[in-house]
Amino acid sequence: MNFSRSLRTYLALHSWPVFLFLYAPLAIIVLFSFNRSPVSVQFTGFSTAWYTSLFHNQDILAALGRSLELGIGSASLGTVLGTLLGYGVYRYRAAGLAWLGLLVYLPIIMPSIVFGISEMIFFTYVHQFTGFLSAGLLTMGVAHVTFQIPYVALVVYSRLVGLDRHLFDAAQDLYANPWKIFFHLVLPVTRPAVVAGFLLAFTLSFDDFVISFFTSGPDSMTLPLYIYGAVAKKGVSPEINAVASLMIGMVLVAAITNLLVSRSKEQAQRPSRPWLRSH
Amino acid sequence: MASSLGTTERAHSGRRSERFALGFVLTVAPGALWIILFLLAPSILVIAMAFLSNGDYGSPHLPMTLDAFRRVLGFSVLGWSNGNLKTLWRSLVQSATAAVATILVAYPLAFFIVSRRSYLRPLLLLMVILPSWTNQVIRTYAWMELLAPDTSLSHLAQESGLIAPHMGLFPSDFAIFLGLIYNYLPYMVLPLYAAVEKLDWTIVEVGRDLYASGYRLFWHTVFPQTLPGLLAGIILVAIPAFGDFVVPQLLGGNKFLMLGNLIANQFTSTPDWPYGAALALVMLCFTFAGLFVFRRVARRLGRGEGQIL
Amino acid sequence: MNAIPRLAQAIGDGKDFAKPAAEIHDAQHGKVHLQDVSKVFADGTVAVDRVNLEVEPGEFFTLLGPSGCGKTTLLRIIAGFEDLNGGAIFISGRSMLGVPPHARNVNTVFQSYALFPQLNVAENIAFGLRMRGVKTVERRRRCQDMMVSMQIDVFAKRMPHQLSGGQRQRVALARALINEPEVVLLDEPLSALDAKLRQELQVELLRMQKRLGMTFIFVTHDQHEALVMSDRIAVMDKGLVRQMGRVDDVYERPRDVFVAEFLGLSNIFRVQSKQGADVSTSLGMLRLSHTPETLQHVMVRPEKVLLSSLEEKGRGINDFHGLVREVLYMGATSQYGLEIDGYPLVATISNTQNGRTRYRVGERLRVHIEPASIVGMGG
Repeated sequence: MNFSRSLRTYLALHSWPVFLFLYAPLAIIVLFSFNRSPVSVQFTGFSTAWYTSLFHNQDILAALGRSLELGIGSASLGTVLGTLLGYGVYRYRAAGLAWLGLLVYLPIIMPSIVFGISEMIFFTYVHQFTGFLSAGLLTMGVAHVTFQIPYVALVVYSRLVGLDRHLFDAAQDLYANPWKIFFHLVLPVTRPAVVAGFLLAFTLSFDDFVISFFTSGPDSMTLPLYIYGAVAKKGVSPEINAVASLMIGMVLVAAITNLLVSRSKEQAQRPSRPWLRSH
Repeated sequence: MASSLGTTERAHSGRRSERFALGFVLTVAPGALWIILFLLAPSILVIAMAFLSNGDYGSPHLPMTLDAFRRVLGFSVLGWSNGNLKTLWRSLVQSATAAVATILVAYPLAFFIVSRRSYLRPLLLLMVILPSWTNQVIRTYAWMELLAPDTSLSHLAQESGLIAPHMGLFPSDFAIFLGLIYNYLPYMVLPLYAAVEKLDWTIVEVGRDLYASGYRLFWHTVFPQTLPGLLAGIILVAIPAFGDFVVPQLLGGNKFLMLGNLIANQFTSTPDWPYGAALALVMLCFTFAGLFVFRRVARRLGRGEGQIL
Repeated sequence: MNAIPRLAQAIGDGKDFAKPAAEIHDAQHGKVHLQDVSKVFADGTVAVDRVNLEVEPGEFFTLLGPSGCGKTTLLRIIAGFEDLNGGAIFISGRSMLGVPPHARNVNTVFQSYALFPQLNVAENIAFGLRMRGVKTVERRRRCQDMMVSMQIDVFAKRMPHQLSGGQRQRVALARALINEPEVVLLDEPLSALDAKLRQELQVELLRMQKRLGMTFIFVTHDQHEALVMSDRIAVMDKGLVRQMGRVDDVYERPRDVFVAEFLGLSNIFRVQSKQGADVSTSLGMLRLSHTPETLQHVMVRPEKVLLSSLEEKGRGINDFHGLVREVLYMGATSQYGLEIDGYPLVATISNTQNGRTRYRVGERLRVHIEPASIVGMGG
């Protein structure tokens, strides 16, 4: 790709401001989280007061705890089901199961608002008729697992597709029955993808707002819901800046870790980069 | 001989299909049933609900009626209003705007990333995607902070006469516009980057002999090759932007009703489930119609829509 | 290399752990019998069409044919990866209908080697033993013996992606042989290697097979490989076995034009008419020593064409005058493109014979074909 000099200049002039555009809002949040003044307009001096008050705010801490609980819980189940599904779709892809592909894509292409209200109506009726599944962390978890399954399945599936398909014949040939194939071949070779799938599922859950909004109950306020409520009521506030900065920090740490890990493995295997997601 | 062979053959294929069934049940069934039970069934419930009557507290009941759809079209006791059509139109415009704007930003960006050294590319790509790893509410909130009255950006706009004094850049259509680009840019960059990275440059070399001008060279050699990525990007941006209600609500100051907000309202502030369900059905129809058209176009282009969808 | 006889001894002792000794019919151990085997794919392609094969114990049997002829499918049927649409299959006298691959005492060496990427060399080789529940101590010992005999023990701890093509090939072979299977199936195992390494491994593989006495079924599209290695071959085309037999018989006496052209170089002429042992062809009258009932073509291998100078005396029958159109010098031999009455004929002459065996382009010479060298063929 030997672009001409003027074209390269044009591309750079276009692109570096885009990166500025992408990071300026995040930088502003972090900056104002250290602002002495409670008004996020001018930076009047450095202070960690908002972090201190954040860690004394029981509501935020409880919301954070629930977000983690929800994320880890749903991602665990979503990873198990998604991994099985991804392997199953790969294993039986020759069987002409077009409907299965549509089903797997359904949670991805369904607009999240429709997704959310569907879950809400469904859970309301289930609760009304059976007494189970009252709106709360459990219903949120069920909804989260539903949108996590296809993403995990896709990550695992694309890892399997990248492998020599004769590996499965070879394992069978070497006396591995279907159980042994799953535990001695499928799980070991897809481990990077399964781990990536779990992290992706967790991120999806931790970041989701719309679907959580419609499936939550009175006692299941998670962090995104808390922030949304606070922003809608009071607008910008420095405490929100602080908690948002912490979340940005977490993402940065995760990204750098991912980059370092995938770099060190790059020579050996193609890393799967499930960066793409929606909701 | 023939008949005995026939029976062993049947027994043999019987055992095969048993093994197939067991493996299928253990791998595919749990996840597939989960999606059927917790998404397919609920969405069918929503479709059914659109045909019910509304009760006093938003709880739907029989008899079946097309009332909800009549109201979707704008008919009410007060006569006809074009409010819903306007809302639908605004949502479609929002979806199209997001798609076009992200294309304009992402297209050169994809070429920029590819023009860098190969070890830098994953890093640059990660930099594009990273902001989307933070929560959508936080991302939108960040723009509220950046565009509020009395910020330097707002001052700049005030002084250049773009907005009235003491006003902020938010809430406004402009803020919604920025928020949409911000939220959906990565979904356009990723498939475009994938297409640009595997561009066949020999075609460009051949084209150089055939077409004189740079513009025609691009149009005939480069553009067709990036089209699958472009289509995938449009699907990935236009569908969620069509239903987005967080960005217009927070950055538009709840002044501009979108289809997403309208649906959400029927399940929150003023419950009217059948009406909300009918609106959701409209959104689903538009979404699937759009998806169908784009898949058709993508398939006709021969390369499918790539790895993304 | 001394470990290989030990392994062969182990097989000779009948220490087969997979099945009780009584169940093994000794005379049939390692025998493969296919009866009217057919395979039709879901899209309607007939991959294998009523194939009958009998591979004897300890034989090196090759399935030869162009790509898409069904040879790999046949191999996969024997391994159990594909189910049959008709027919029966017996390995060591036992019917394999409904027996999944992991329950068949058969091992495959794949074209792509299919080494498990997450396991090192030793773990790859021991995989089959581990799956069959062989105790760790014995597994380790047998794995070590196998790696020593294959001269790959120095790579024991390496991962597959750190190995060269030839090393991977050995690991794949070791991984199959360590299980002491009744039959070893090899799917073009040498095709990914460069020419020199390939020749070395051909010889090595052949010696190993003879020493172990195992049945090898080998799939290749390479006629030279088939000629060098096989005891018997089956030439396949479009799902059918066109001819099966000892490799030299098939080469010397191909049954039809396809076999003759696929296996080696040949001169083929259409038979126009036939009177007793004399047939009329485009080349002229030819006398055959043996004429089959259905005679449509006659074939003569280039090395069976005898050339001499015009001064030498002719032999009366099957004598022609030829013109040298082209000479291809090939080291040990030279290949001559001749023209006889406007029709082409290829002859191959050894360059090491005494006397005058070199001819120049444009030279006229005498061409003779022995009646016994001419093969009559059907379609």
